[in-house]
Amino acid sequence: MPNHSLLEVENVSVRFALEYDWLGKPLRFLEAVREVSLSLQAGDSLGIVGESGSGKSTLAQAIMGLVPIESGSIRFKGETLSHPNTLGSSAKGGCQIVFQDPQSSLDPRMRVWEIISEGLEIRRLGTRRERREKAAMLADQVGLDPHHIDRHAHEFSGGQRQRIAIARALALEPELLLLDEPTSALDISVQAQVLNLLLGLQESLGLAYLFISHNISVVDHMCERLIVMKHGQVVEAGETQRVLLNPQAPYTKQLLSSVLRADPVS
Amino acid sequence: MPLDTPVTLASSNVGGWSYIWYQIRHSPLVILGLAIVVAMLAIALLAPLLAPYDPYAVSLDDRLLPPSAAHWAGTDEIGRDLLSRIIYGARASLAVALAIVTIAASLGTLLGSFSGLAGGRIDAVIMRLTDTVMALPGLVIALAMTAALGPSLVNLALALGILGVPFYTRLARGQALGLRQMQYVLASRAMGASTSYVLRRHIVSNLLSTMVVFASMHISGALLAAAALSFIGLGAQPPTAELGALINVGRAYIQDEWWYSLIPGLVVVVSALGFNLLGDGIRDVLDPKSRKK
Amino acid sequence: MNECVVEIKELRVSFPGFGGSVEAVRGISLEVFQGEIVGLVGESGSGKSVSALTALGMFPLGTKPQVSGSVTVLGKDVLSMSERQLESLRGSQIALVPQEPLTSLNPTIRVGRQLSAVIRAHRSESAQRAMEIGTELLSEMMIEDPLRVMGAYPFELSGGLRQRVVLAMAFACNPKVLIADEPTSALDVTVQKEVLDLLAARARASGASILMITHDMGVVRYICDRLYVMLDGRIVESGDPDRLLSHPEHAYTKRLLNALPERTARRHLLPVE
Repeated sequence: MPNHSLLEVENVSVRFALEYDWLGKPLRFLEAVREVSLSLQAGDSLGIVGESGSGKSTLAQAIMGLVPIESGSIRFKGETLSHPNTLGSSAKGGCQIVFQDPQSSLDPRMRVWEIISEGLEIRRLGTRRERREKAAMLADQVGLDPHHIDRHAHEFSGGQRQRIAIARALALEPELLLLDEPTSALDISVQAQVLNLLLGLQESLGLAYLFISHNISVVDHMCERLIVMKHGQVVEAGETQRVLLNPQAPYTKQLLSSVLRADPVS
Repeated sequence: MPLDTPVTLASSNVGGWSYIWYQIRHSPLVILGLAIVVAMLAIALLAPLLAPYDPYAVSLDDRLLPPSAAHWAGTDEIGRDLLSRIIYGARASLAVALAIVTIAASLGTLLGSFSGLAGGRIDAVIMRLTDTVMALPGLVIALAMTAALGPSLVNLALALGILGVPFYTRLARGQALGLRQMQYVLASRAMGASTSYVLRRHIVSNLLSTMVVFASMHISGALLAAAALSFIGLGAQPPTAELGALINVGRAYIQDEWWYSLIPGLVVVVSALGFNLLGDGIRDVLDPKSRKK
Repeated sequence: MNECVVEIKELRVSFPGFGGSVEAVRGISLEVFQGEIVGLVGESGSGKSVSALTALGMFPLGTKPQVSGSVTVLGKDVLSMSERQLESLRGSQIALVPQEPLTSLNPTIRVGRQLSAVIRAHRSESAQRAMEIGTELLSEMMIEDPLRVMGAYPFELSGGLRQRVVLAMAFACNPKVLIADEPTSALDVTVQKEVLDLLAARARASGASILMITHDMGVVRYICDRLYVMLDGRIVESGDPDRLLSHPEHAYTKRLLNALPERTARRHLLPVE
């Protein structure tokens, strides 16, 4: 086995069409991600910090193949991703994504077990009954009552919904999870529970995390390394400890000085 | 931060039957609409049981009789019982209206959700096509189509159904544009779902309630349009009983036998009203946010 | 001490609805003194927004809650006022800073016209003079090119700029009390601090009081003189932010603070009950 990183992103740029002509041909573009590179080893956590419009979520979607990349390359376990969705559709050892908004991340028309096992349904793995059993197991793994899997998503609180989204991502047994602001819409006490769950899953399953957040405290808590993004570019990268104590880029300094700490002790 | 508690309470129960009943109970107009629609459906389904006479039985001795105990709505120009003909006519009109709505809603929903999900060129082409169809005067085109295909209730339903497609297409496309940004759609695609899977599993199922609301409003319009085309002779052909056709024939006798046109006319108006009221109610139940207090 | 501008006593608010009524506020009492910035902190569903909006005589659209207790704002009993009296009170003496500026501004009208309309609703000024006052207000809100902003539509502005426009509207009639409902929760961290600085400085300069609803302990500690912690419609703890945040007494406050990731060593489990 050659010594590949789990995920290698090299000089990736993404742009979006801002305007179309009447036949749907793009006219103007927005450079959302510009020449971003990063790498991640199996079982590691990398934080991506940035404010709105920094391109951090777009980068995650580009890695998932949800938006096409303009230039650069993305390699997963040494293999270059050429087709959209290849990363997510691999049945085992792939990569899955967990989104921010627990309101819109779960289909309101589906039962919880159907949501959790959707990846299996898409891959046509197992019978309906086997998928339901697997969903119950996953629900248990993320701390949900397996007896509740016949309910609909709206019957759950924000934190529970986020657990459902995590269970769905785990169904295809990925090696890497992209976590796009997974706790930003949650109350503090609920956030703590979800962060604990993620730490526990990482330990027991050996997952690698790409943890995207605007909240530096959360990234600091979860990740050994981080990159700071602004306007689609990486402005600083390094060990979390080093970046927080001794920021180099002016933007990182500004960001850190703007953080309002609740803790009078620290 | 919006007020969490009451909002969660309401939304957590949306969809349950008890919640639907709670909504309906508080609106007498919806109950009225529901009663009319149920009555109309019962009349349509049970026409053979309810009609006192054979609607096609000619009795030349009993021509143009006024309403009486024997013939509640009188008789027509060749002595057929009008009440029986109205009951069968309502059945035909309702069937045509439902056929129109079914054709328009199913085709429009599929086309629109595909268009919205696909986006880009495909979307632009489909939208320009619907623009073109919508720019045409509907009733006139339906007139031309039925004239070309030959006047009959089936062709009438086809013509009006196809002309209704663009309205559903636009509506479904707008919804699909919003739905395809939903994170559950992104998550599904991230797991490798195909376009047809996303369309089936996430898009169509989630825009269904909007389409049902629109369809329930559309039924009354379809009922009126079908009656109108039959009125000018492009729908039901004699001797078929149909409300629009009945009104048209009765027109010749409006001076003396005014009830001949009036009664089927009232049936059309009341059922259109019933479907509209029920449509309002369905909207309030399925989409409580759109209700203005 | 200064006079008390907002006094809420034994306030209870419950919303009748499908499946029984929900008691959102269960007997809270709080005071805001002149020139004070008071935080009302809680997680979602704690009743903090309902409590504060009741001080404005406002309730979520389409609901008719049952209210008991008393709310006195600037010596007037808000709960017994008519809608018309409330409207004149709201514009001139007491103002609301909402969370999401994009939904509180009309997207189809230029900022300048919206701002001058607010000014003219409560002061008799000519249209032109109102535009001038509006421009001044915007530059007081540290907006660099107020003329461009006056001519812009809300969607053309960044979140930070929009929130400054909303602040300008709130301050347009020199209110004595501001109710700020999560005024910076939708903003980026770097912008949040600027907006908070502005809000505090402007209130201090004019002697206005602020009742600030927030879930963010960092915001509270940064800006508030005093704070109330709400849980399930009740106030569980109150006092000086520094003291309260370093030595919380109520179990809930302790739990809330301990759940902050910055209090626990990296990659260690956070204490949850």
